[in-house]
Amino acid sequence: MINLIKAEQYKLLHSRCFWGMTFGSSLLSSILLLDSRQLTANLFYAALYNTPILYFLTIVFAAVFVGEDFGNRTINSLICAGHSRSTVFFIKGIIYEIGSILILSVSLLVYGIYEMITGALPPIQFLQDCIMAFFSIIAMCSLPLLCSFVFKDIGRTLAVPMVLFFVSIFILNNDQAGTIATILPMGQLRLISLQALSVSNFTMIIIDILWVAILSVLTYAAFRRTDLK
Amino acid sequence: MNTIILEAQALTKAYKQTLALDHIDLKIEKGKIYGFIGQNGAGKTTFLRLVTGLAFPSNGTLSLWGKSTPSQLQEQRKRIGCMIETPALFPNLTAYQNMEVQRIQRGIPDRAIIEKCLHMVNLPDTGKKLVRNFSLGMRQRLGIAIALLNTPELLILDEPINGLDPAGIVEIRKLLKSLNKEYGMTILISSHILEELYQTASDFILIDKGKIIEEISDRELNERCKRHIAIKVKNSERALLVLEEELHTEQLQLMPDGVIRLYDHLDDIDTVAEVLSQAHLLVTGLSLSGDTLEDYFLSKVGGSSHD
Repeated sequence: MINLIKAEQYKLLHSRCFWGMTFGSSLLSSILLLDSRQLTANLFYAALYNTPILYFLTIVFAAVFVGEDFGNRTINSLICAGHSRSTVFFIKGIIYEIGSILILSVSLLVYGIYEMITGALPPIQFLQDCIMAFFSIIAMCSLPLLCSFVFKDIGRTLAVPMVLFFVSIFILNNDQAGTIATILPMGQLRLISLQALSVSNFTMIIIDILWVAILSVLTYAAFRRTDLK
Repeated sequence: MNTIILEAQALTKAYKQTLALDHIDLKIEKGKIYGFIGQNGAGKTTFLRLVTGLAFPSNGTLSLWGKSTPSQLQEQRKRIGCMIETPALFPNLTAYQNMEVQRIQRGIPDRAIIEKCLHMVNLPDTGKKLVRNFSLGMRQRLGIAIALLNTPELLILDEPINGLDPAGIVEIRKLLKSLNKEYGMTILISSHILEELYQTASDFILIDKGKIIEEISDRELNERCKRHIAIKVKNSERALLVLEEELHTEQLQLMPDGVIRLYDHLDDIDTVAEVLSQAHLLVTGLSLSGDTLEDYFLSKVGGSSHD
């Protein structure tokens, strides 16, 4: 398992696509601040407000990091080398989630630390919101992971979550968005940024854990006994 | 008795409406080079995918080095190197980086093995060129290098010479033979180029419509195909004696037309020529004759090849 973690880490760190997306995400987030700054209390929340929009980058990342591995049959080489499917799924999932968190959170951390230094954001508040955002991002990114393991290619791994991404944005613009936003991780991030959560932090984290658990079980079920090309 | 490293018993793989493998019984012995021959859709790749864990059998048992439970099979697969259908490569990494990822995931401590394997397949100096810019032949070589990374006890290659130029094909053949000789590596190769397979393998497995139709050694094949070296020489009778004496064989025959048929040393036509030359015999013709492996295979499956 350790060898697999090291190999996936090596691959992630040598992926130009990952670094490009991390840089692009930070750049896009900064540009989007021009809009969201007026709606939120400070730069950290303004950056958090834009995180759901940047979700599409992690969808692309799932297609490239996992979907492409199926397409190139490089996941197959891990199975042929004697790694169990559960290990491959677990490590692939963990490294993808870490990559996605990094892509989405660099600007959050930069603006959060800046606001802490200037005194506009209390450290405890920052830490608390970071933890909440962390769980929401993990839950949000579990969907592209599921699609990559189900479809085992780049195209559909990209297309299906992208459609769901736009559907979610449409739903969140609805009149009853408040209730739905509490359930959807994308909506939760918006609620945290507007400091308008209607449920406790604990409840929100439980909802996210449930999302991750359900999606992970489905993902593993799709991979466990499937024949690979 | 030879060690059995792979054994399939009534191994069956069924897809929705197709029976890809139909109760396959097969034993692979240590230290041999097996040629896996069959038409498209005969079940070659399906069998290799079952062996490497990419697919699951519908029925029957598979054992590797005598172990057959799923967890044991998984553990034994660490002793296998393989390339199934196409090389599994990361297109946005260099050849070295591709090898490095595979080295790390296999837990091989020695980095020098990468250079060694790249040298073996004659792909040492690709520098920072990304794999996506490689030719088909270069990808194939890199795929073989990756399969060799763990110095496997069983090497499985599915169509390894696809895309290789004639010189590349000869290099790979020599490499496989030397790996088999030096390391006692057991090799299972599937290929459509039967003439090439004939020159590489020591045993042949013929598969058709999901069933093994024959397992045959190269010696048996040569006998059945009456493969021989046809030698035309000025003084046939003296040549016969020279060959018998120098090659230590009685597997030869003088035909009524004066042609000598040598049924031995089929892989070593150069030596035969050298022996005759050293005896100052004027050779006017020296060629490999008889049915080819392709002819034999087609006579067995009873139809024309799809390929």
